[in-house]
Amino acid sequence: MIRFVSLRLLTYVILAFVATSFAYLLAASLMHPEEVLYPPIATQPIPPATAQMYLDVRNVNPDTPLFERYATWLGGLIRGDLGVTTGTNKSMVPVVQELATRIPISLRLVVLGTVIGTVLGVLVGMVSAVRRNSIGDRVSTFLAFVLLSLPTPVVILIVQQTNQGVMDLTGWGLPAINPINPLLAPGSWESISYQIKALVMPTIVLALFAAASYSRYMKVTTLDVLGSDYLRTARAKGLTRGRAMTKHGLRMALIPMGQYFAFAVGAAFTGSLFVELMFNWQGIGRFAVSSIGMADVNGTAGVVLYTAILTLLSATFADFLQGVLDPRIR
Amino acid sequence: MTNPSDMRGTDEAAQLQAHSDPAENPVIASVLNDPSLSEQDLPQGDARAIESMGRSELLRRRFLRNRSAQIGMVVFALLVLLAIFAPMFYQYGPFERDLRNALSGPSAYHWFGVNERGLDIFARTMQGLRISLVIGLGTAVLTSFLSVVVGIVAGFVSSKGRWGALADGALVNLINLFLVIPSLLLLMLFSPVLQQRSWLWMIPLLALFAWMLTARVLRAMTQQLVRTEYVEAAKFMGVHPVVTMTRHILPNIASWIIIDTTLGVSGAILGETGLSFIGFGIQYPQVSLGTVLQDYNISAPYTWIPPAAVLAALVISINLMGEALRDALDPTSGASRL
Repeated sequence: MIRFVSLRLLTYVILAFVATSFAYLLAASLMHPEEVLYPPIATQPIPPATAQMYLDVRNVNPDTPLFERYATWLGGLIRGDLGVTTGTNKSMVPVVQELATRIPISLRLVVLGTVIGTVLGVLVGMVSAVRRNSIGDRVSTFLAFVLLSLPTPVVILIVQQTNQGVMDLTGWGLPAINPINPLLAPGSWESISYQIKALVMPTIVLALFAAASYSRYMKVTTLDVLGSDYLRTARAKGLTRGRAMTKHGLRMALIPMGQYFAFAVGAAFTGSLFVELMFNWQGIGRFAVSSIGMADVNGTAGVVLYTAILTLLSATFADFLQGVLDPRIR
Repeated sequence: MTNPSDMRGTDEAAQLQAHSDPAENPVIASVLNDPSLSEQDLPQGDARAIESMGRSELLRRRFLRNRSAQIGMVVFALLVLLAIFAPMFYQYGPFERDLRNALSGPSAYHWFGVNERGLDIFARTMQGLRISLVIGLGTAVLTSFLSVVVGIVAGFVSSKGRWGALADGALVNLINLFLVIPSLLLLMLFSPVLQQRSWLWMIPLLALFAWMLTARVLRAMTQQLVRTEYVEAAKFMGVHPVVTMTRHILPNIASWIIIDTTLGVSGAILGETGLSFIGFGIQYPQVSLGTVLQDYNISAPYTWIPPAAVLAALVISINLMGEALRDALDPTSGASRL
C-alpha cells in the first residue's frame, strides 16, 4: 500500500515538474513583457543600463538566454521564491504573496463545489441506477445530459438571471458579485453572513457540473455492480436490497470512480475560473486570466505550478481512496 | 470437418465433395442452370430482406428508428442551414452598429435585439454559429485522427519486445503529461499568438489538448485486438504492421471512433466558446458564439438568451446524435432488436 502510493506520488511529482517547466518555457518564449514595460512613447530616452536592470530584476530580459532565465526561475523555485509580477503590472509584488492571498478565495470554491458535487452525483447516480426507468431516473439523466451540453458561462448566467428574477419579485436575493462586502466591518456577523451568502451561487454552479458528470459515471458503474454475483449472494443470505447495496455494492461501484476524481478537480479549477470572472472574485482564476493578458511570465508560471500541485494532490488522494476501497490493491 | 463427433475419413469427404460439385454431379448442375429455379421466383417477403441485411444497413436502421436521433438530426440540419443562409440575406452584419437602437429588445428589424454596443445579436449569433460549426467539426476530425494514431501505435507496439514496451511507455507518459497540464491555461497562452495569423489555427490548437482520453481507450482496445488469432495469423504471414493496423485493427475500433468524433464536435464547440468568452479565443474580424455571449447584460436577458439557446440547441442536437449512434452500435443496449 505504502509502496503503491509512494510510487504513484513520485510519478505525479515528475509529471507536475515537467508540466510546470514546459509552461514556464512556453510563457517565457511566447510573451514579451519587455515590449509593454517600456512603451515607445516615453518622453525621455531611458539609459540602456537602467532598462537592463529593470528587465533583469524581473528575470524577463530577452538578452539573457531562455534557459538561463529558466535556471534562475528554478533556483528561486527551490528556495520557495517564484519571482515578481511583470508585464504591465509594474508593482513587483512577489508571486508567492499574490498566490497566498488568492488561493484561499479560490480553494474554498473548488473544494466546496467538488465535495458537494461528488456526494450529490454519487447519490443521484446510485439511486437512478437502482430505480432504473423510474421518473426520478429519467429526470436526473435528462438534467445531467442538458447540463453537460451547456458551457459554464451559460449555466452561470442562468443562475444569476434566476437570482435577479427572484430579487426583482421579492426584493430579497443573493449577492451577485464580490465575495466580501468591503463596507461591512471585517469579523462582524454581517460580514460573515454576507460571505456565506456570496458563496452560495458559485458553489451551486460548480457542484451542478460535478454532480452531472459524476451521476452519469456512477450510474454506469452501479449498473455493472447490480448484475454481479456477490450482490445476488448478499441478497440470498438475507440482506435487504438497501443494505446489500450500501454494504457491498456501493464500495465496488465507487472504485472506478476514484480515478475520475482527479479530473473532477481539474474541471473544478476551469469552472472556478469562469465563476471568478463572472462573480468578480479576486481568486486564482482571475489572476490567471489577468497575468496572461498582461504578459506576466512569472505570474503565469506560478498559476501553472498551483494547478499542477492541485491536480497532483487530487490524483494522490484518488489513488489513496482507491487503495482504501479496493482490497485487491492492498 | 468442424464437428468433432463427425468421424468420417478424408476419402469420404472427397466423395461428398464430388457428389455436391456441379461439374461432377449432373443433377446439381441441372438445378443450378435451371432458369425457372433462379432467385427471382423466391417470395419478396421481409424474411429474405432481413437475412441479407448488411451491418451498415442494420446500423442505419437502428439509428434512424431512435427518436432522439431524429430530433437531433432535424435540429442540427436546421442550424446548419441557418448558419449557411441566414448571414446571406439578413440585412445587418455582425459588426454593423445601430447605436440609435442600442439595448433594445427583439423587433421586426433586429430579430434578436441589439446589445449595449449597438450590434445586432441575430447577425452576430448566426456568424458565430458558422465559426463554431467549422471549428467544432474540424477539431473533432483532427482530434480523432491524433488519438487514433497515438492509440493504435501505442497499443500495437506494446507487445513487440523491449523496444516496443519502451515506446508504449513513452506514449502513455505523454498522454498522462497532457492530462496533467492545465490545458485551459496553455490554450490561453497559445491562442492570442496564433489568432494573429488566422482564426483557423484554433482547430489544431484545440485538437492538441483534446486527444488524450480517447487515445487511452483506443490503446487498451488495440492491446486486446493484437492478441486475437487473426492478427497473429497476419503477423506470421508476413503482413506489414501498417497494413495490419489499417486492415485488421482499425475496422474493429471504428465504431468507437465514430461515436467519439460525434461527441468530440460538441466538446470542441464548448471549449472554443469558453475560450472565446474569456477573450482568448476568436478575435475581432471574426465572431464566435462565445464572443456573442461575452456581451451579456443581466438586466437585459435578450442579450444572452438567444445565443445561449442556439449554442445549447447545437450542442444538445450533436450529443443526441452521438448517444443514438452509441446505442445503435452497442449490441447490449435496448436498440439492438431489428
